[in-house]
Amino acid sequence: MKKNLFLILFGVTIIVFASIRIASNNTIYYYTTTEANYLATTSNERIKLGGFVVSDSVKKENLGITKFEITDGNVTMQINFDGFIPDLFQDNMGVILDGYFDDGIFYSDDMLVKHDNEYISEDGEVYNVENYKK
Amino acid sequence: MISSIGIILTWFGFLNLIILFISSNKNLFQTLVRVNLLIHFLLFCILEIALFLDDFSLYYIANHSAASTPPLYKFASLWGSLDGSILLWNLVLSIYFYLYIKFYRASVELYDIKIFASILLFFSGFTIFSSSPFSGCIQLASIGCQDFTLLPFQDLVTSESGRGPNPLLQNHPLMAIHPPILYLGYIGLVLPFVIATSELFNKHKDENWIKIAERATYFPWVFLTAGISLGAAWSYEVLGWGGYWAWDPVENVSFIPWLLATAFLHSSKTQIKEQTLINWNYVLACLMFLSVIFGTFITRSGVLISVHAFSNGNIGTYLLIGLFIFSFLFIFIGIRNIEYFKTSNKVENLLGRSGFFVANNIVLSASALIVLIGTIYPIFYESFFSRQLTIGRSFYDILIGPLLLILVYLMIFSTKISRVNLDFKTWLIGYQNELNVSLLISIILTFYFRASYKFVLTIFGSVLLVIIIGKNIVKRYKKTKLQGSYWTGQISHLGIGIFTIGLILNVTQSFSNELIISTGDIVNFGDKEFIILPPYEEIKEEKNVINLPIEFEDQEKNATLNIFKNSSQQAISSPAVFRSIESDTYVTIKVIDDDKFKLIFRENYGIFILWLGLGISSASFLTRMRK
Repeated sequence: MKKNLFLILFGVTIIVFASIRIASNNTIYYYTTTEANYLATTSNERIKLGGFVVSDSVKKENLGITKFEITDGNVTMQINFDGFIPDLFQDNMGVILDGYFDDGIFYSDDMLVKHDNEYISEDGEVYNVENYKK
Repeated sequence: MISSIGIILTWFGFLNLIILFISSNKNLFQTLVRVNLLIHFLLFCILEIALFLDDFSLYYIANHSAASTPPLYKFASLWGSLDGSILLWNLVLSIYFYLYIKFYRASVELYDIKIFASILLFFSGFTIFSSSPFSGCIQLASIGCQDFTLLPFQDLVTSESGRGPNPLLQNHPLMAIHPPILYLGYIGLVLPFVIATSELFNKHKDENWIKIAERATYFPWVFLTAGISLGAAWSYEVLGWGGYWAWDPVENVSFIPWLLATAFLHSSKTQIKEQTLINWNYVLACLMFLSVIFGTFITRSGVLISVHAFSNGNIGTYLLIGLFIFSFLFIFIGIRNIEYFKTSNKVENLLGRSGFFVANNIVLSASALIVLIGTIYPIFYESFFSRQLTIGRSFYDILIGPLLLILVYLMIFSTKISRVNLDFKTWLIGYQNELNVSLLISIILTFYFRASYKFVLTIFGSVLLVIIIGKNIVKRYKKTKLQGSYWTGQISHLGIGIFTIGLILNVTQSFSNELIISTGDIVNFGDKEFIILPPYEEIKEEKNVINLPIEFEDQEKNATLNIFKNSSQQAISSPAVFRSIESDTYVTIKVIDDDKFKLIFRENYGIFILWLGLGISSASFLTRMRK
């Protein structure tokens, strides 16, 4: 019985260790624009980038490519979005974008806006990117 | 009015459960369990009636339904959000309580009744003390309701229109079937927990508890299999991303109990037939239910970012307390029975039944552990390093993929398994033809698809599995009529074999392309030709639908973009799917820009085969109908 218990613990340890190793190599991080600032020119791995849409920055180009800027109040970044834009999308709204940097511009094809059961209050609820929920 | 009736009836239900919990009258409990079922059924009906009457003085209805919601989705709104889903949860628990005393009860003591009653007390306590779907609205929001009361006979305010359910939940009829089926499976795993803990709590335990627990696990397992499959089908048919399984936390927490239940269905056999693994069976029987509560905690407490997660205040803490209480019960009873566990026989034949089932259990519980780690890793990471992340799909591909393959190879031997060791030489000679045929098929398929070694290994194993079991079934059908638990296993294995063939085809062969088109264009994708017809818009009460008809051979199907009006105005792109046995062509609209469309074409291989396999596994219950 003791031998079995030892074997089980040993197995569990190996699995936990291996999973965490592999998990840490397969993560997609959420960044605010400030945090992502240093990445913009150095890396092109896929990340999730959150921020608020800067007023009057949204420009529609041909065939659904939309350019706009997002900010966390500190650093502003240029976004090149090629994907489906929800109707809800508008100035000053919090979004999370899935994509990568190339030459300081963030290329994204997937956007999350708040869409759970709760409502977005019309008087402009304050969003906090850190606690953002899909 | 309805609010007050509902709340008072909830109180009666609670009172009834308290009596059930404290009473030691051995004749009374049958009646009380029936009354309990009746009350929960009435509660369910009352909320449905209120939903259909559009009674917006109820907080829940004002916020999760609307007058314009179509009837089917009004009906389904009952479980569309947290408070209502707990009502369904309690109803299902009550149904199982009733079924338990009717079919599965062996004990003469009342421990089982008390444990079951305390579980139900725990969950219905939430609707009394924290939030109830019957709570009345006392303060309006701009749309829907802002604040609620948990007391009856208050002055309620009625909002003019409801907010409507989450648009994702009113887009496909599967949404009305999937949650109840899944609940029947998920919550049914309470039965083995109650049976194991109450029997082992009893000094004069019935050695047959494992048999009863096995029987009681099987039907929830079938519902869980069917429920998970339906959820995957819904994801494929509605969400338009082309896949069926995203390793989303909510999917994961339904998969963990499934893995554990599958492990238990096997390991219980060793105890029934050879009195081995008694302690392990006790652990599994309890872990299934604990993983259910844990899963609910993960997904309902708002600790995770997920498509399904309902965000809500204090249910997290509440469930965490429950998890501690029931874990304590599990450990306490486990420690009391150390002597009993020592009576367990040793596993002697490593190539016999016990040996194979131990291997199966190691693989299945390792998978459960890996999925668990993948699910909670982001939570821990965020609390230690205060940074959010998600785990990529490749994590599961790397870890779970090979384990599934091992299971397939273990199942190949399942036709011939017995108490004594399997003789490999005789086995190889006996199945020579089957081996050759599947080798031939895998070689042909490998050249046809120009596939990799993963494909070859998987396809060889699963084709061999399907052939061996298929032959076994055909050969012995007349004699056995496929009744009994041996055949339950065989048919489930056949289903999993077929499923694996579909899965590996899907994972390795599918391809996709993004195309920009205008109306009237002819699109060539793969070797197929599609004609894009002029789009038209439908304006419905609850949504605007842009339909883009696509013609392929003689079929015409619509790729649609659904834009919902009365909620968060989310747009959902639903696919046009052209099916065939070998592969589906799956077309979704990505962007509409005046008269031009950007479409995604996907060739999804093996989808039909995959559903067929899961269907066969779920249909394995037919082998247990006649008894």
